Amino acid sequence: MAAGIVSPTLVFIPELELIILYVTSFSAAIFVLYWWYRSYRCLGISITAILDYIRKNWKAMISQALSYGAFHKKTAKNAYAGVMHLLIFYGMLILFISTSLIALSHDILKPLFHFGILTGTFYLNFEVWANTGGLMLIAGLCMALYRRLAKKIKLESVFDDYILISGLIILSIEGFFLGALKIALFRNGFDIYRYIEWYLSYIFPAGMNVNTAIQVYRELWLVHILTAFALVIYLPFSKFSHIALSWTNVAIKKFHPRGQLSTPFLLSEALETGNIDFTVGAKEVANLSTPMKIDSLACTNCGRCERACPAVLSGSDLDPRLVVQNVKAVVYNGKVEMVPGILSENAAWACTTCQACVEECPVLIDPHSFVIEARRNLVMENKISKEAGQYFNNLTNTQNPYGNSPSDRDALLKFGPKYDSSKEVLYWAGCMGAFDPRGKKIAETVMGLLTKAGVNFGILGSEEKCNGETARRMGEEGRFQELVLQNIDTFKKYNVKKIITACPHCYNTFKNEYPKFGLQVEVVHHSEFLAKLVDDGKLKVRKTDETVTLHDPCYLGRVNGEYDNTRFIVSSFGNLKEMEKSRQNSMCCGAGGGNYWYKVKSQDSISHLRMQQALDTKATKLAVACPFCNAMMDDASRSMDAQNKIEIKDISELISDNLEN
Amino acid sequence: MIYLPYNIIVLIKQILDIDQMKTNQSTGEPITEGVPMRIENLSKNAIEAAVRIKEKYGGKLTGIIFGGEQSSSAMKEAYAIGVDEGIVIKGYKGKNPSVTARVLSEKIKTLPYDMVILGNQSADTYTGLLPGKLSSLLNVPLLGNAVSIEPGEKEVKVTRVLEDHNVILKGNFPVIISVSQEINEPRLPAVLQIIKAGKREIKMETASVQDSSSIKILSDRAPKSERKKEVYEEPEKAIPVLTRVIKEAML
Repeated sequence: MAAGIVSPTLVFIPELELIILYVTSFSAAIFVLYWWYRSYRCLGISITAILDYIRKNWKAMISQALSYGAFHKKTAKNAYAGVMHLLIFYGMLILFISTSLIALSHDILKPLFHFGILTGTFYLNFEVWANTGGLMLIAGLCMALYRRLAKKIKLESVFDDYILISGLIILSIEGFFLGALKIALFRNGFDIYRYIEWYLSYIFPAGMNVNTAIQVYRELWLVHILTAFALVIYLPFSKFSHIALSWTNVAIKKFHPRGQLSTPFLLSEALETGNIDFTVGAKEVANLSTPMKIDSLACTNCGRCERACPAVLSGSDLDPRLVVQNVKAVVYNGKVEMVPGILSENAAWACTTCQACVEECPVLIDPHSFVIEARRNLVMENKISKEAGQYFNNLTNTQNPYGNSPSDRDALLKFGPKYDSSKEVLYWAGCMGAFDPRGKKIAETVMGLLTKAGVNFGILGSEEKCNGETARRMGEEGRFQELVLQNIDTFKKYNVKKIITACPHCYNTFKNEYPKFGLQVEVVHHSEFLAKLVDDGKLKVRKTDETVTLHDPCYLGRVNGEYDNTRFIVSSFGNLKEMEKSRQNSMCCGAGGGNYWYKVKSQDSISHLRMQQALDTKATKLAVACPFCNAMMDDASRSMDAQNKIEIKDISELISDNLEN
Repeated sequence: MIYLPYNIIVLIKQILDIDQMKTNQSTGEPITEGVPMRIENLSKNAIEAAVRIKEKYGGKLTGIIFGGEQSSSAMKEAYAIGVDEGIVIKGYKGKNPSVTARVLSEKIKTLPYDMVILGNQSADTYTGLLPGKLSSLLNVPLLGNAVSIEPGEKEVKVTRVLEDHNVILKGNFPVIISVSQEINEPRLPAVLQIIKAGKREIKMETASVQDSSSIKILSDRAPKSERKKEVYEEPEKAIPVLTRVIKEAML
């Protein structure tokens, strides 16, 4: 080996320029780190609190930062954008590590300890990686540029986006040309490991003047360094801030069940202690909780939430991306009213709480929680529509949304026995099951199947009260908790151990919200219970050649991660044809978050969009598992004149229709 | 004399929640047991009207309920809507507007007021006599069946709705104004606001009521209504019948 394989040093760069490099890189690093710290300091979080948090949570922080950050657990969900981001991310990471190794070897180890680490095989590997990193970065950036220019998806593009993408492309190309020029000057055989730069080096003429080449190299090097630091200084002011802020957010995120909203106060405690001096909801941005403010800082304006939001798709003026972005813009000052400063009153009520935005966000922001806080304040200020007021009134007076007499619930006792302590499971029919004609039929069917399978169940009849799900999501925490306390008393009175619910909303509320108020029972949705009965052979279903499509209810699927029971039931008798949007990407029917009970202004109706998706499958039956989805889809099929094309059936009715005996 | 800001008295009635009341299927007798109490809807309109005047012009709102011990819950709700001071007069035995008018007028006489606002009538008895009786006992003019109230410095302008036209009336303070349901959409206080309001003091007083026998209820049975109970399964058959019935009703 003649010259030995070593990394070429910056031999042509004069000392003055190297000093400039050291000073700028050091100050840029300090600047960015200070800005990072200041981002949280300005929210009132002290350095001791930050350190204390890290000390207590470092394990979770590392694992979350790795899975959601480094491994793109959610970013990679969308194929194109996921690949694009992975290329940029890993390209930059590889280049960052490479540059750090060069700095370590050339600027620290060599001058101080007179040895370098970038030698031999390690160096050759290093160069292959560095060239690959540069290639990945350029490829990812080109994908990003194309995505914005081609405008195939709804994506807000501002000047900032183009500066960043083109700045980084220029930076990477500069880097490649610098390497190529150096190869052209020395041309060692082992330089071929720098496989991009090697071929690129042939564009420089073989017999070029060495002094001119060195002069070009120096100038290009200076430009490269200045471009790099310009981008670093620009980081805090641009979308690139997400490198720090979004990564922080995914690392410190405290997970809770998706179906559980925050509890601003405990009614039982307030009544007992008489201490009621707390604020509920957010009148201004300043009233939002600190985790929510940190959430807003993490938003990169990527628009995934917006493209998934049914309220956006239906043309209402709610846009989860804008909600979070608007909060982010004023998060430090905070003196902006949530309504109308962040979102309009109509937008606040347009959210169906379907949590498609929550599912989509790659950096674990919960956009729908901002809407809930805005609603809570609107309710406290009595700014509610007539329909919403009627809803709350009915809940208070009759403990059901319809305002029907509570004793009317006893009508269901014709189909199932009254619950007592000898019963094993409680069938919770819900308000739709008790009062909605279609819901009643489903409740009858479920009870029929339970009886047939010999399940020892009972119902509460008029002792059942709305569980408050919708009131909570409409921001009326007090009415929600009143109902919670009343229902828990009833469960305790009968020593209820297991509940089957007819409605995914009831299911979610008992499963995820009631435990906070002291309920500890097993809760299943009827789809799960019936699937088990079919699986165990207690209900025998015959196979047909029907093509059935399936609508995932948000509060069974996306919110509680249950997709398989409904699919098992459909497949047990028919051929399942999935809709384009299914499972965690399923689209809301438009009823959630109270939207069943009032109207908001929008161009289209969410249910019509969803119905069209069902019709597109050409299936003859649409299986649903939620009485609200059922009602919405039924209504949509009527107004779209699609009743002859597709039949809407609850999962329990489909079992019942196809029973063997 | 300039009356701004106003002293407003709002009279609130608490009744059985008749929407939740059932009748005995065989005897037609109303079952009042276990039926919760609520604020009469027109009283809510009256409170809302008074609160809106207070919010716009300033002033003090005194709520009075002639009821019983249980009426404090209704007063808490009235506080949550915006009533400043509440007086509950216990001793209501029901169904005699003369007694109610006497008790209330005696109380009103002891308070400063520019306007007394109350509902036209109440959904439990529908006598509609109280506003007039109060007017005569207090010797204060009554502007009844109001759908809008515009108070000025010395007088108040009230729009009264009649069968097919509106009448605009002006009256010098003090006045009694009875409101109709169309006047406003009462706001609904959040549960937490009602609880917060519940911490405020309510003046409980007792009226001595002797006479409540001048009116006797002879019957309170639900009228029998015969339904045709026609069921159409096919919309095609039902629609012509329905349109015909509606057209006939509109003639």
